[in-house]
Amino acid sequence: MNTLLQVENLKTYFRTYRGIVKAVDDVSFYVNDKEIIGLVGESGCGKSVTMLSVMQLIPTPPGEIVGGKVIFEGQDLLQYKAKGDQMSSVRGGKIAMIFQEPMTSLNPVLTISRQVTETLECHLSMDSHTARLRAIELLKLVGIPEAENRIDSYPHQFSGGMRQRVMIAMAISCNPRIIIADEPTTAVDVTTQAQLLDLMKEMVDRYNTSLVIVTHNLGVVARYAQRIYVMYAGRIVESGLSDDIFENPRHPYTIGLLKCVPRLGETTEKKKLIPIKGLPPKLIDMPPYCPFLPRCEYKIDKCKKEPVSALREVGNQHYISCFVDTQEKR
Amino acid sequence: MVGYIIRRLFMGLIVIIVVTILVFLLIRLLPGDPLLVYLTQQQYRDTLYDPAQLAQLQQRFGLDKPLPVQYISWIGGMFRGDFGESITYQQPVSKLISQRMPVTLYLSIIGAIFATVVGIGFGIVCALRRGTWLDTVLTFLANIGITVPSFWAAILLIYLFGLKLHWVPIGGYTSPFEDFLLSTRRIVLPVFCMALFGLAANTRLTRSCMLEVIAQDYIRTAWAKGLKERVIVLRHTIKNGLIPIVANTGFLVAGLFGGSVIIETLFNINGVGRLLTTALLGQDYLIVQASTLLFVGLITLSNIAVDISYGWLDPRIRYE
Amino acid sequence: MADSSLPGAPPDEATEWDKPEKKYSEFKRTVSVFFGRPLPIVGLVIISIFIIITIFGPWIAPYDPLEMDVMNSLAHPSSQHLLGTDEIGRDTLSRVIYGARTSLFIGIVVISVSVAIGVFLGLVAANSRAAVHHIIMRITDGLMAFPSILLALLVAGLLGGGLQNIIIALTVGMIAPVIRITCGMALSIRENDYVIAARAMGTSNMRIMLSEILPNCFAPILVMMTMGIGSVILAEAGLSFLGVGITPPTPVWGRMVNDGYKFLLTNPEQSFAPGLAVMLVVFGFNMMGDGLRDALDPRLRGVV
Repeated sequence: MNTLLQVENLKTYFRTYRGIVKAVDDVSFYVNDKEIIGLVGESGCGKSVTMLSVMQLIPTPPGEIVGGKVIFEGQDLLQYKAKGDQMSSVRGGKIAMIFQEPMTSLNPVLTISRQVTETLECHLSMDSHTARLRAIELLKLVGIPEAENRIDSYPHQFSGGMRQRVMIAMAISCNPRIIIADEPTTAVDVTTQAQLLDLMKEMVDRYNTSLVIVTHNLGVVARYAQRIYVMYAGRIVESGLSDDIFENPRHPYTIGLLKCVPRLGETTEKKKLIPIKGLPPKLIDMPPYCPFLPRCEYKIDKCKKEPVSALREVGNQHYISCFVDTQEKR
Repeated sequence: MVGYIIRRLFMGLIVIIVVTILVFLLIRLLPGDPLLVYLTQQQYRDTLYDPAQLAQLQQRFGLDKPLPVQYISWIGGMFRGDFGESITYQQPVSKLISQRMPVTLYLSIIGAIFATVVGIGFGIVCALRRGTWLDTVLTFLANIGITVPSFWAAILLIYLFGLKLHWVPIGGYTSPFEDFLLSTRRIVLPVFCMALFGLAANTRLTRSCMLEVIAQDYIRTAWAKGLKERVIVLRHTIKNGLIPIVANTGFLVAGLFGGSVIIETLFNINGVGRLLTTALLGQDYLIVQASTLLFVGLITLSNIAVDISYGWLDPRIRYE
Repeated sequence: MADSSLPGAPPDEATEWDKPEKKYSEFKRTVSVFFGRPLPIVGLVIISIFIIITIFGPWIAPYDPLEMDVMNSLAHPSSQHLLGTDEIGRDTLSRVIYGARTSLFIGIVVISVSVAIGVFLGLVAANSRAAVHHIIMRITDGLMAFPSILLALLVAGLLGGGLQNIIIALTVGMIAPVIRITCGMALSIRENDYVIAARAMGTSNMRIMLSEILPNCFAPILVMMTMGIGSVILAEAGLSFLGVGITPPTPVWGRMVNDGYKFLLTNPEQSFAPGLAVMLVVFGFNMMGDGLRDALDPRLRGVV
């Protein structure tokens, strides 16, 4: 398996009225060919910003990618100009993205047809007639009934789930190598969620595409992802194979996170759900210590004296950013 | 869409009725009796008027009837093109106005096109190049433009281009069909002064609307799809950003007509605006009534047109 | 590295480190946004200067604005008369300084009256039955179709000049937009959950209007008032330029521009100076309004 996308030491900061927010602070990860990975974390932990940085879609100002590399097919994407032609041919063509808000992610004054075909015309240089036929085909593929008639509708005539299907159709339209799905199912109801996820899985299997699912919902990644990255306060705190993370979490945050997720087969009487105490830190002017320290149950003296630990290997492809050997303590 | 248009037309009709009532009442209810003026200004100048004569005149003009009846007969006269006879000019008001209307319309239409095209263009440039020196300069000029009194801008320009540089003749009007070049040279300054406020307001409005649109999620989607900046601006941004500008066209037209009152007087242009001002100062109320109604009616019509094109721009309204 | 000399080492108790973050007061943020950009400050400075001129005019002005010196009419700017004199020898600088009083006074009075009436009618329209709502709003629509300068011109022309009549005329021209904006705002605020909650608790309509809706209209109304003073001053200058404003000899800027226009070639400063004064004041109010709008805009909270 070869590595498709390699992100190294990515740093994205936002300058705000209250100070510098280190939304993404020294994040590294990779995506292999035909792999589904999950990026998990609470809202505001920087997972969306990480992915927007990869695509160079950070609004500047106030945001700015201040360091790191995003290596895709041997090229550092951060060397490209954000609005330049090279970056544009990667976006949508090689790396596609699906966003969280289906209600606002489609342009309200353009027809669905226009919005799907323009990607085809742009990356695959199709003429408008071929593009239209292909668009209808794509809409059928993602399960939109009567695609021939509905293609000329406007987004507000579609339900949230349907709009997200249109987003998926647009994402797969140019056979990208990677699809980044940023909280794709957060804004739709639960039954639709499962349908959309299955649809995405089916699509990436069919087209041999890699998929990055960004979510705060551990249940979503558990079923689909092969590898998982856990993010907290702008940093990756644990990464590993999906099974390892779920069966044998090592970072105190991941442990806490899993304790507050209900599992099948475990009745609530036997095992109570335990919330993590406290709140995630505001990312403004953070001290150099482990950001989880104030909420951590396993903290040792070293945590308060030294800057946060670098990622260290604790098993096969299993890394944590913590000084403590949580297994012993448990 | 048809239902939408019918609804809009109906609303427009109501506004027009309200407007005629307002104009009618404004002239009738405010102090200053037109007949007294008529009597004192006409052959009876410098003599005391005779109450019997006043009553006779009231009867002749139907002013002794109750207000609603007067209103109806006034409206009826309008439909026959009868706006009464001017006291000062001794001519039918309809004739006076129809002679001057082409001038005012010509100036206003050129002004509207100028203010719209240039204003929107500047606004788009500012939004796309936000924070650059170009944006700073244009935004500052726009802030000056909505600030400077049109008559003062006119005087400055007359001083500079007319009196000092002798580039353009000062004042007066020539029809473009008579001498296109001279006509153009003569209308440059008045049109610019009439359009200045609208232009500046459009620049500011376009800039802020475009900036708002640029921050929308669907623009991020467009970028994520790998579209070129040109396509994003032309296809995804402008149509959305223009909706408020179109909605504002009624104000633009109102501003132009309002401006014509001052600018035509200042530049000595024989249009409806100047006719209205002189009539108002000379208390020739039939002219005031008719030309006000004409202006306001045209503004209302343009508002209706705006509402309908609004539905074309924004599909969400169309299918309401 | 392993010693505790790192700055800002967290205390033992996690709860202490995790104390509620420093409170950023909304007022402080507003003030700092307002003063964070140059133009609102420029606006504030201009307006402050004009207010000082208005209050201390008699002490600042070098001459009595009505004092004629026919022997010295249409004098060019000199050390005696910084901006020269007009056709009957009155000192232009003094007249411009006194003109500020009239302009600012009219601007503030008109905007206060029209906002008071307009906000009241707007709230009534938003909160009453369909019939009342439609009557108020359709009349507003009708008034909005008049160019405000034309409406003011008509009323002033028919009522005649004089301070009181000019104030009435300008108020009539200003009121419609205030009604429309207030009504629109009140209607959209009324859809908010907290208003629905208040209604669900049985709060009376009147109370909701006064305690839930009105306070939320405050910021936009403040911005509207600031910008509105500018437009009123502009309109007043237009009226007096056309000769339907305050009666002479009271110095007013618009009429001064018109009076000076006759002598544009020989004494351009007679027209330029009062017009520049109008522009500066209006610019000041507009920029302050812009600054206030940005500073009070809740969408910018925390971003800027």
